Amino acid sequence: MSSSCASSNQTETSLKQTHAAEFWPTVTRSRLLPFDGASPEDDRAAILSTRQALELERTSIESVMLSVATRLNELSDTARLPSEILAHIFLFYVSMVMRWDPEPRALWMKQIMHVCHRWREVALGHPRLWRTVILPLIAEGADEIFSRSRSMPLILHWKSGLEQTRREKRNVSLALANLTRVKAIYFGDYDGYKSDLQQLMKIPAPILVSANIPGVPLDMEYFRTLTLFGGLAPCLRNLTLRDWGIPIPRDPTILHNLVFLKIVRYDSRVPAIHSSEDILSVLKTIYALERLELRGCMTEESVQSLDLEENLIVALPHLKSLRLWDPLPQCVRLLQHLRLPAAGIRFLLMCKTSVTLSAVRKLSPLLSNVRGASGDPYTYLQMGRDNYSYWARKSLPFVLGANRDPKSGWDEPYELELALGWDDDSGWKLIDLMHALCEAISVEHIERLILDMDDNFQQSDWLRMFGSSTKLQFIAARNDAGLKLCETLQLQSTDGQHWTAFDAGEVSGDGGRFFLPRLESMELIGVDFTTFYPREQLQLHDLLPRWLQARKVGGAPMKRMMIMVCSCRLRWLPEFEVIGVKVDYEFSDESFSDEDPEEEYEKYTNWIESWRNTGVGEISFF
Amino acid sequence: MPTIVSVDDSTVPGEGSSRLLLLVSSDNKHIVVEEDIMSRSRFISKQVEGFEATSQRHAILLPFSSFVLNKVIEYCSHYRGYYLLEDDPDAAPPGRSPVREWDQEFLDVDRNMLLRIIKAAHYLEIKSLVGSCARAIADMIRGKTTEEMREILGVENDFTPEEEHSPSSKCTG
Repeated sequence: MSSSCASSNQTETSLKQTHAAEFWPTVTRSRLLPFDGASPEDDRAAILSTRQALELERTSIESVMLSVATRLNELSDTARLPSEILAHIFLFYVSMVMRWDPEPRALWMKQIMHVCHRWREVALGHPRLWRTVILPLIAEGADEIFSRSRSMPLILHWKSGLEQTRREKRNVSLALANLTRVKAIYFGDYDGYKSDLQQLMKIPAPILVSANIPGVPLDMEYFRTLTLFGGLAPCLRNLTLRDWGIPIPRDPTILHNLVFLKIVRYDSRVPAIHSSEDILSVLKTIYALERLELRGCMTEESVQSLDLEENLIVALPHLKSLRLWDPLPQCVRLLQHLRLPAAGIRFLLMCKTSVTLSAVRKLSPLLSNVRGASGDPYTYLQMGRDNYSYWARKSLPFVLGANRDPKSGWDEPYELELALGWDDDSGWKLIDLMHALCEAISVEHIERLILDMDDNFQQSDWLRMFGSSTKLQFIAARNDAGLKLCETLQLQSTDGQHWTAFDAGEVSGDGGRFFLPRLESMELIGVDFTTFYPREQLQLHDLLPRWLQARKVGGAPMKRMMIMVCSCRLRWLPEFEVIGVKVDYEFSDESFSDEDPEEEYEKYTNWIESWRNTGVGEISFF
Repeated sequence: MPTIVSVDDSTVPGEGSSRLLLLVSSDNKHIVVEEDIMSRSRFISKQVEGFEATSQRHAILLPFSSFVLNKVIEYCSHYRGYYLLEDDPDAAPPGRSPVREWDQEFLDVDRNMLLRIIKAAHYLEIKSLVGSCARAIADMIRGKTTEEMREILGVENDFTPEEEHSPSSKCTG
């Protein structure tokens, strides 16, 4: 401090002699200060030299620090994990990312790659981590992803904005060039990628197994001249045509290996253009089909206007699951021309708009038609877009484990199950409709009831409809209000001792606490865990297994279970001796993992097969 | 590979009685366990096949502590006789299904123990346990920043600043 003051005084003296100092005394003073007598050039050189020395020292310290970090990593338990385990962890980590949210996925992968050298090496060296590509919004480096995935079959998710940037267009071109490597392809929203889709239609996809594509952006005229995937997709097994307002491709080379076909219409802007005849002509080329779902895609033209050959019969010998969500006349027409010897349960759902009193009156003959056509023991019908269900069965061997005595089986001559529910826009009208339905099917035969009610529907309405049902034995309620009603109905129309199955439904929180104590009096042998619920709704699902384990049956903890299950409920199976399995055979994007839905479906079917070999009593699909 | 030593038949009964295995941990603890329990381990199963081929039964020395081994045995005992999809050799890669509830409680251990269990499970080729541990670890780092991941799993940053921003980290997807 003192030396700087001294030098400052000297400087002031010398500055007085300079012209500049006289002219701008305050401004220039500091600029002209000599530094320990050295010139400014000498000063700059000294600073540079010192800086270089310090940089060198820092580099050296960093190098030592990195070396220490590397050594420490070598010693840490995490870093010493075998590469395949680390990759396994990364796969789980990636699978937790939402499929349609590409940015977090990119961020998460980036974080993994920035942890340490080893993690980066493992991540880069594991092609499975890079096989799922979300287009075209990937941030950058699409070519790197394709090269990192090496020869792995790719899963493409296409999600486009309205306008593609130049980079996105490049990514799309890259993906199209790699279509020969694509095993599954899913298109999300359809705005903005019409040209991509039209290009895609021309390109052969030799290993493509699953495709979910929308028809909305395609021009009908354009499509008439093309077949899917240039007519070459020999491995295609699962095909979903969404909002398909254009002709269904009929190329046998594309269709003949399909095991799953879904033609659905969610977008009301898309016309339903397919007649029963169109559908039948497509179906007759798909011999191996196991699952078929038609939803809102058939025209509502009158049956009389259809020019179907009366003797046109299409046999689908392998079909196990049929879901029809279409106007009743078309469903009837279609069913009359189908022969489905392998189907376990029919699932017929009619569009809400077509549910009229006259439609309801057609139900009973329809049931006999369906049974007659297939020889199946039972049939499931569901009316309306959502929850209007109705099913009837004769000598049903296995439903929810309800009333099923493995030794004696069923002895009731005729049983009915009715599942009801409504949404806001149909509400009250449906109540009258349901009354008509109840009359049509003789409510006194109802034994199983699934309640899915809203606040508008009062207990008195239910009681008016079902109060006289003396055979009611099973009630599955899907909300707390329904559960309370169950109890009321139980008191009035059933003996709790006879309740033999319980549909966990969407009961959560208070509902579970309300209902569980009431299960004590039941001979419960079945639990329905078919629906995937978010974690926060799982309270009841968590409670039930514990409750079942704690419960004594014949002096031993209850272990015999019939389980309805989908993949998300596998975790409980080890807890019980399974005496029957009923599987939700629905295969959709949401049902399976992010990484590889098709493989997971295989895993799922393998799992089902594994039960077949264990002598489990019954396996059925719906 | 573990060292295999001959054992006394009186310690490990052979055919005709309840078949037992003698497992020896790295801290030289001898643990007798029913063969059936350990059949979930493909490694042990292969060893047993070897015994049957030579008609001689041996103790199996394993390169992890008795504490870890006992945890693995506890897992195998719990799932004794049950089919677990993940242990199917043809099973698909991990999906989105949640961790089994029992596994969640079983794996509620500290990080180091979890890592030891997964390594032991990997060594013993118990895919279901490897999967559950991997999922538990993935869950630990889910939604965390890189720095937090390092902290949680005890990993040091060994990148130079240049490497940290190198093109190879330009990951997307």
